[in-house]
Amino acid sequence: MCVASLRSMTIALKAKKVLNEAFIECEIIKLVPHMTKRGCAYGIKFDCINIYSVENVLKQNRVKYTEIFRL
Amino acid sequence: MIYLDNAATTFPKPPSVIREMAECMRSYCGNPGRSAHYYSIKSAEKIFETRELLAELFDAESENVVFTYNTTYALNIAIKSLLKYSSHILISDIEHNSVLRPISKCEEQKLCTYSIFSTNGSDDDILNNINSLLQKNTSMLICTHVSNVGERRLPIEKIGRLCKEHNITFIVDGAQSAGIHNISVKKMNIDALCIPGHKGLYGPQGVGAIIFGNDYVGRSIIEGGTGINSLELQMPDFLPEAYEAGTLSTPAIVGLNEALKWLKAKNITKLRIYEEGLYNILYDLLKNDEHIKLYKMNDYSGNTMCFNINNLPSSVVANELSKRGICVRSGFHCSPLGHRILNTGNDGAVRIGIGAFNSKNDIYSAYEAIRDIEKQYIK
Repeated sequence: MCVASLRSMTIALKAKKVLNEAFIECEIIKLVPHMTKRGCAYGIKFDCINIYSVENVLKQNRVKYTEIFRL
Repeated sequence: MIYLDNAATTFPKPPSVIREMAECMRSYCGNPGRSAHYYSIKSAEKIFETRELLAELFDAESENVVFTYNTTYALNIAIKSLLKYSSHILISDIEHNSVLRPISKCEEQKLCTYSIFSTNGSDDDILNNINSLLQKNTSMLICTHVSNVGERRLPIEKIGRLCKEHNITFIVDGAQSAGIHNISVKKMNIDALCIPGHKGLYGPQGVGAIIFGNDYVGRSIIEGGTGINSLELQMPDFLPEAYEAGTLSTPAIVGLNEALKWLKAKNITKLRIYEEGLYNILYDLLKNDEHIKLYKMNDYSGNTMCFNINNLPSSVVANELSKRGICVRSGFHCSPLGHRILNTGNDGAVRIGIGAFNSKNDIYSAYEAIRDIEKQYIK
């Protein structure tokens, strides 16, 4: 699975909404401390097979993510 | 009881508001934005949905919707965070204390100076009044959209255009207009629209919002936990979390969520026309009464009317109306500037605030009660 890290719950919810509208399944997770330098943050977990679609959908909808990494 | 104090807070609320608030308390009220478990996510989803509803209503981006406790908190945060120190501020002559007091304190602390522009006359007159008071260091203009005492409605689209031309931060107090008049944060060039949840939007008390026109973040006013960036000493530098320290009031926000859906279904223009119709009935009944002094700032008919009965103190009239089952508000309505313009004297006025749940019969009953008080006190 892959995770797009996002700076807040608000952005995570927006990401989830636009991805679901694009028929991409995902779930919000809380990132564990070693995944982020700034303390608590959230991410969107999705199947890595959708990585390019996820990037495109997030960019199209101006949802800024910090990075995408594999779990 | 007949409730005619809707300018202070609307009552009753749509049944769906009450149902969802109870459901939230019963079934899913976790701490939003603090965890990824069911209760926290469900609460956060509801809050996000409410941001989207407000963003849709006021033509803004959902991330730029910041929740506060009420309009006063919203105005204080917007003013104090966006203020450029040592600059000049303009406010209108009908501002509520939620603008006048923060600005007065700002001047007292020598952080800013301010001038008050007249709202008398046509739209062009108002713009000329503003232009005549502009200084080289004018950095902010704050004005109400609709007065809470006199139904004066300011041309905020034109004022917004003027502010944009002069690179002035434009803050609008939408306490009496949100949910009643159409407001577009984008088209009106509003930098911060401050609104209550509990008035024209028909939500519960305990939630208000700032709708920012862009994602600029000023200085933080209240610092604390946000559920993110917890290892840093500073507040997040992005909206909405930059201004949302501490746990939000999830039950109040989900109540507002349902209220916004109710309002959308009802259509705010239809509701406004309905309320204006009731206002006109009452106005026509009172205007020919020789003992009634009606206070109006202009010919606009809205949903809020101020009056006095001869020289009777407004508090006496409000008490007598209350005894007769009519709920209104007396005094100065936290709006000394507006009352100065209305020339209501030393005891303010009685204010009737009409809402969507009022009927023609409510208006006739209020009128009968007023007539009854006249008979009792005026010999």
